[in-house]
Amino acid sequence: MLRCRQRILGSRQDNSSYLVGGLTTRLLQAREEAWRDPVTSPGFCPNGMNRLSMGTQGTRERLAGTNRRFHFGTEEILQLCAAATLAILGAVVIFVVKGAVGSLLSMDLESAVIVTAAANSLAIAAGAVIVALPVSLVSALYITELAPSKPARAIWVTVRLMSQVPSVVIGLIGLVWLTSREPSSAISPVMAAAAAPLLLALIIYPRFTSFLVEHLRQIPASLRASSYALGASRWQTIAYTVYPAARSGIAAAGFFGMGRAMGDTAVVLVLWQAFSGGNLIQEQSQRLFTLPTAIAVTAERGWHHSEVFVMALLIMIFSLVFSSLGRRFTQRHWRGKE
Amino acid sequence: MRTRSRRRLAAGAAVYSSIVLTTWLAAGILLLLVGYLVFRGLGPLAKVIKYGVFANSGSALLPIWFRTLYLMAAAALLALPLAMGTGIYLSEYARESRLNAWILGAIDGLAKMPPIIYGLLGWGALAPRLGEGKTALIVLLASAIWLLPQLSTMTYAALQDVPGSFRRDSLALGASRWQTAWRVLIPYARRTLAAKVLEGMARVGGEAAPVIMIAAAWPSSYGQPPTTLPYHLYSSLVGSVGPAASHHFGTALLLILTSICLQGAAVQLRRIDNDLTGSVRDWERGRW
Amino acid sequence: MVAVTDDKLVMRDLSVYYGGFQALSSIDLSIPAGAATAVIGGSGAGKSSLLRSLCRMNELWDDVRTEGQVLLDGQDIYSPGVDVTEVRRRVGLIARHPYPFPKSIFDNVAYGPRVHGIRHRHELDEIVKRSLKQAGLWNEVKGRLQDSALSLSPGQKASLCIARALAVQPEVLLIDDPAYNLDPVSVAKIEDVILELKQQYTLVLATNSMQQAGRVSDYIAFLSEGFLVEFGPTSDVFARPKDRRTEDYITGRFS
Repeated sequence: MLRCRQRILGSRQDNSSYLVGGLTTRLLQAREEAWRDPVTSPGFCPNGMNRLSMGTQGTRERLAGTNRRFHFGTEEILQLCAAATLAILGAVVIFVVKGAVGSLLSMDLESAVIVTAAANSLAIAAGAVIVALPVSLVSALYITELAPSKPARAIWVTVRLMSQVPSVVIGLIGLVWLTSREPSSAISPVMAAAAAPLLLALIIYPRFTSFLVEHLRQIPASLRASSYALGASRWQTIAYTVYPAARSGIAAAGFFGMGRAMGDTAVVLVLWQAFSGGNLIQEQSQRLFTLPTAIAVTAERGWHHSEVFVMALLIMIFSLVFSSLGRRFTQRHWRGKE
Repeated sequence: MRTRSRRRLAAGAAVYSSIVLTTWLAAGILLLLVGYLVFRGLGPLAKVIKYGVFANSGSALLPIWFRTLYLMAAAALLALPLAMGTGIYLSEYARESRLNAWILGAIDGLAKMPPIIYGLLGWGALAPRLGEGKTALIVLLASAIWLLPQLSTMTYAALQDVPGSFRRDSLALGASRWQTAWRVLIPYARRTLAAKVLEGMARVGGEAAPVIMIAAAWPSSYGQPPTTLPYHLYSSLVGSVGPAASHHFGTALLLILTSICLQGAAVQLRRIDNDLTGSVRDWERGRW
Repeated sequence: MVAVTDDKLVMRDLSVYYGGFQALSSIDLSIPAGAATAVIGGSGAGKSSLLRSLCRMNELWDDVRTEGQVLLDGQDIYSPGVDVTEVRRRVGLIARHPYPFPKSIFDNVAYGPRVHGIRHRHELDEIVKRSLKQAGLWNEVKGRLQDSALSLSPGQKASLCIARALAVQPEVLLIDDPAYNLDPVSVAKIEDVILELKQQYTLVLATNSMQQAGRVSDYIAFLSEGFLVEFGPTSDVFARPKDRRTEDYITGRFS
């Protein structure tokens, strides 16, 4: 190992006669210092960065080269970071799964509540996506394909600014909207449940739109240009060129939006707290009783302790399924290659 | 030359105007929402800034706001080093394999997990271990854990988005992977990274769910001062009977303004980024 | 005709696979020191793979497999324990259509010396000045070294990338298609620079253009579908090609 380095070094010294000038000598000197004592050489790669290598050369070879028992390079530190992240995230998953398995084994679950909550969650989220997705698609097409630059920019900025609106605020708006005409006692939970998807749509519309705009911008301009060059009208270009290329993005947005709308807590929770009368037994109020609401309410009031984890596991599984389905449509194949 | 029939022109105009109408309507609803909050909340907010407390509820708003800002910054600072290390490792060092793809998918899945899961973590795992009274610490930890996968995937995506020629040319000059990442890729992606961190902070500062769960760990402390702005709004909404009061609008306005400011900074950063390196991006696109 | 003193790079039974696809098949080739060798062949013949495998840049692909040896001054660069960054410093690669980093002109050229540990400002100044002079760019940019490199014209950008590669004092310079996407004036300028450089460096050029190969190279290696078909002094290959495929390629007949 050391010998072969010296061979490289020696051969370079032999061949370096054609490299002239003091500068070159300095560069070579610096390299030689690094070779001689790779760990402590001053002025040359003080933190051992350029000893890092890649590809076929693994940690073992580098260990052998530095004559140190514990070589701690950048790669190892980054590896530790990744391992720590995975450990923390793994702990989160294990915590939920363990709790859920424990509850399932204890056999005193009210499974009806869980099933109802899951169904409510799915229904409300699907409603939100059905409302928001077409509007977002239209907006995204308007921004990228149709609008003059100034209105497009105005809408784009609005959408971007509103894409992280806190959901409690939307909950407040929903409350105000529903109680604007009649007192809250007159509002049935069914009505509130019908309003929930609209409110959630308000939350996911900006996200959908910015996601779809980013996706449509990825479509190369040459694709559109060649469509126009073949004599297609603007509508034909949208219908036959832009839309097919955007289809995967629309599907991905739909799945991501489902996950997002299902996971949203505060909007439905605020409505549930306001309109259910706080009575879990009431049949009708269960329309608003989504998984996150159920988790928050059960935790808050100390009911059905065991069901919390099962519902959390359920929402985790739903979220994972939706995000992996969404990711399948936005898969990138490029990875640091030429 | 065939002239287009009147009918088709009319149909085109109808479709176009309906698209314009829908878009402006949707964006208009969002703007109306902010306008309504400003209309109802500006007075109370100005008063609370002037006198320190809300006139009718007696609760102070600014300390809660500061605590929220502190939580956002602290959670981001706590999560960022680890997340960036993870992102750099997965993007620049790890070999492309099925395992690597699986790990990336898992981290991305956890990044998209509903925040209530992280609240549950605080409620069921952190609270019993760290003990009562450490609500602030537990909320901070839960938020940092929530941010961790988000910032990891965002670092990964930002590095993957850097034109491949920079990585190639830097390595060809004999730079190590770390030097390439630190001196070329991250400087190139820094505005995207900063924008995404701001976005993550906005998410942490605006989400009530984790705090709702963590506060639920101690039912006795229901009356204690809540930790963050969204939780304050939630608990005062739930606690009050009857229609929403003016201080709710004041709180909501402050909350939405904070979120909009953070997002605005993020948008501005991204815009400058696009102008700066658009030429490289265009060239890359042309080459593929 | 440059006298052959030594072989700088020797490929022994070099094969490169991308997954299941074999890009190079048992190449045995010796690159003479202090001369310009042109690697010619149609697209997909393996020119770029050959150049990349000479400085271990192929390893950026995860599914790539390299077999055989590449000897740099008699030392196999693929043997375990060899520092990849050192190989890449000694064997510089200017990839097809290189692009300056989004930094200033000075920082672009100084990037290589900096990652190899040179910190002193006056040393960097010297290196930058000399490299830019060698690349024939000094007179055009000497007043605006702190300007963004992205403000240069495409031809100047290509020259800047040559200067950037020269700044780390490589012994061998691999240039992949120096004429790619450039106008004829810039190409002529770069060819002048290449003619200058081959006095000091061992050059390997991959090119599609027979005219360019004839103008700047001393030796020609003709690749076809991953196989080395012919290698010899440029004048010999042009005058008396031994293989029919070479002849067809040179005269512009393609099957």
